[in-house]
Amino acid sequence: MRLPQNLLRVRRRRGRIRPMYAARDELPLAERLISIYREHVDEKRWKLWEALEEVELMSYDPKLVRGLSTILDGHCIYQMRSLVDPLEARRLVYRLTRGRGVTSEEERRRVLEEAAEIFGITAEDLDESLYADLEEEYYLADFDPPEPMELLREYNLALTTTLLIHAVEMDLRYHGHPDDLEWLCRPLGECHVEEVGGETRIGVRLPSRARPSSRADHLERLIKALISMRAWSLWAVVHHPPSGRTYRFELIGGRDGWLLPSMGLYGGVSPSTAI
Amino acid sequence: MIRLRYERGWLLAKGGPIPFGEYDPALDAYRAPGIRYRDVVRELRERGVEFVDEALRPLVCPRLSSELKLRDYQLEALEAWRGAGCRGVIVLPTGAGKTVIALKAMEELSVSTLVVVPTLVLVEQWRERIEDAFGVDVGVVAGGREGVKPITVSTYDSASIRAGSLGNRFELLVFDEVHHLPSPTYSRIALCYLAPYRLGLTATPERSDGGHAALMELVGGVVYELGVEDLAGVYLAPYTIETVYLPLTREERKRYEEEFGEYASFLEARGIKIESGEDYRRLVVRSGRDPEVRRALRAREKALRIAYGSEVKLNYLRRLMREHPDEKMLIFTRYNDLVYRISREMLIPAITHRTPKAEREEILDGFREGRYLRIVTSRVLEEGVDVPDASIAVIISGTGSSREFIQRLGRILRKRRGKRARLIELVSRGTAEIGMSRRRRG
Repeated sequence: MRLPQNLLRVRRRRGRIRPMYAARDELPLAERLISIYREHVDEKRWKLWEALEEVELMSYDPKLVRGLSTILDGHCIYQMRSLVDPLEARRLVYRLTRGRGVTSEEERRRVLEEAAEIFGITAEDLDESLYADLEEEYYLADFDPPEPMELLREYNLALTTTLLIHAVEMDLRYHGHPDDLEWLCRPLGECHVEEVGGETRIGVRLPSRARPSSRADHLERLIKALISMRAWSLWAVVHHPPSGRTYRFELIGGRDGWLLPSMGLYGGVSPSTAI
Repeated sequence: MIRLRYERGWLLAKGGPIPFGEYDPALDAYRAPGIRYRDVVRELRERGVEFVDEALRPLVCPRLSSELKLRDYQLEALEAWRGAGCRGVIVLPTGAGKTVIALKAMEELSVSTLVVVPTLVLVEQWRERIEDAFGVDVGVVAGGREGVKPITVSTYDSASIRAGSLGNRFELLVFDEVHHLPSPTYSRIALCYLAPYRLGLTATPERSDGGHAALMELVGGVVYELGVEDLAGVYLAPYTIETVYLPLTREERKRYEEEFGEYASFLEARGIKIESGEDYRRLVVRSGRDPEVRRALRAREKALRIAYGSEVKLNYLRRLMREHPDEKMLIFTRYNDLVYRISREMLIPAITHRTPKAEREEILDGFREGRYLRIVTSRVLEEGVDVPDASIAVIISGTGSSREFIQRLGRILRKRRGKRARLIELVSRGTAEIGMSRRRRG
């Protein structure tokens, strides 16, 4: 999962950049958002959006609220609910008005009733079908709620991925064999691998032109694998497009690991298990 | 020696009598209405009377130049006006290019000019036209705004209220829709201002109260007139533009005032002034950190929604649809939620940026072939969307659209069977602040 660049929250200071990771003090917000999603199962999406907007109007960073709900959307199944194909429904009513539309409530009801009869459904259902294919008219059909802290960790992982999309260079270290991660680094760019006394070091040079979406996928897989290793760390040189400058970024397992999804969840990614 | 001064709409002369002047013992001076200024000065000169003119103190106007080209009849009109001593009214049908004649007159004289128009929407349109033509900053005195520059645009209301202080600052007055002028309040403008040069523009000089006779006195008579029949088919733009100002319902008005009031009182409490698009953008940036700003902006957004989606406008649209059952009508609004609301309530095909390409093509084909006679859309003007002819376009906007926008939309309209296409803009009355800021945000 990655976030739209405009939801990336960072702090820049003395040549260093760091995402504004969500820590324990954001747990109440996480809990609140999870319960909003829970309450909106079987509701139309626009109702969920309205409830989320209410949260944004309170004293939270709206980018954080939107970032977290982007993650939560990944835990949702949205579904179009319509008895007939909305496009077919529209075609039919337009035809029945002879392309002239309707100018009164009675006229509208007559057209809907006529169309409904053709489809064999009620006029109310037909009315609901007309634009059931719009995103906001979709229903939140199922929601698999994460634990609040896990939500924050997934969010932090997404922030890290989003930041590293503009990485120029990365340096990964961990206790383990080069085979564990090297194959995940290759798709990102040119690699330089070293093994010193049980520690593997992989340097990656990332070309500036790459499709952000495919890079995000590769990055996410790599980071998930990295944080499941022992004694890991990550250094990177990151370009920051809004300022046009480059910054250093570091993430150290022993210090930052708890901010990211726990090893157990994604652990054991290696060539053998991944294939 | 006679000294001429300007005071509150009057031309005052101390030290001797002046033509058209009446002696006022309280002031110990002769006084004449501002409008007499040119006659007074001319006569004094002719008679060889020595005088000092401290009355007219025009703003200094830079040399204006533009690329504007006039058509034959426009040149004739300008010629006729010049021949009448740069005074008088030009009568041309809507769409014949009256504005461009005024711009050319301004360019030739290159003197300080006040353009007086009936509505705030027209204030903005004129400001844009003048800035485009000459690349100069244009002042606006209207709707509470107060920025006097050598070229200034004002409403009849503001120009009338400010006659006392502005009356001696301009040499040329341009009255758009000059048939408004002969009312008791507005005629004050013509009477009090000293401006020796005056140009009136209108398509319909007649007033039911016979006030058009007064135009002779106030601006100079009609110096040039052509009717639709003189120009039809040759020069007229292929469409006419009508702006319809509609009120909100009582309930909508109440909600609008509440929401907009919340936004306005927030600005006031914080001492924030929104005078440009830049100010507004800054406010939006602040909303990221400041929840109070977010709430204020949401209230503004809600007010705007009430204004653009007013039930009164939708009823007006329904009426137009009933009156023109067999004509192709394009309904445009840039607000997607309103597009879908109209589509659903009136069962009209909708096109927005979210409409899949196949469906969009199907709808446009249907319109071209006459299976669909109405489309409601938010994106007629974008690249790659080839909109077929329509004889009526209805724009539903917050509070008025820019001239460029209307002209671009107008280009997709076509003449049908010798009748001109109509472009009708529906605007909510009394919600100007929002419209201004949105328009400038462009």
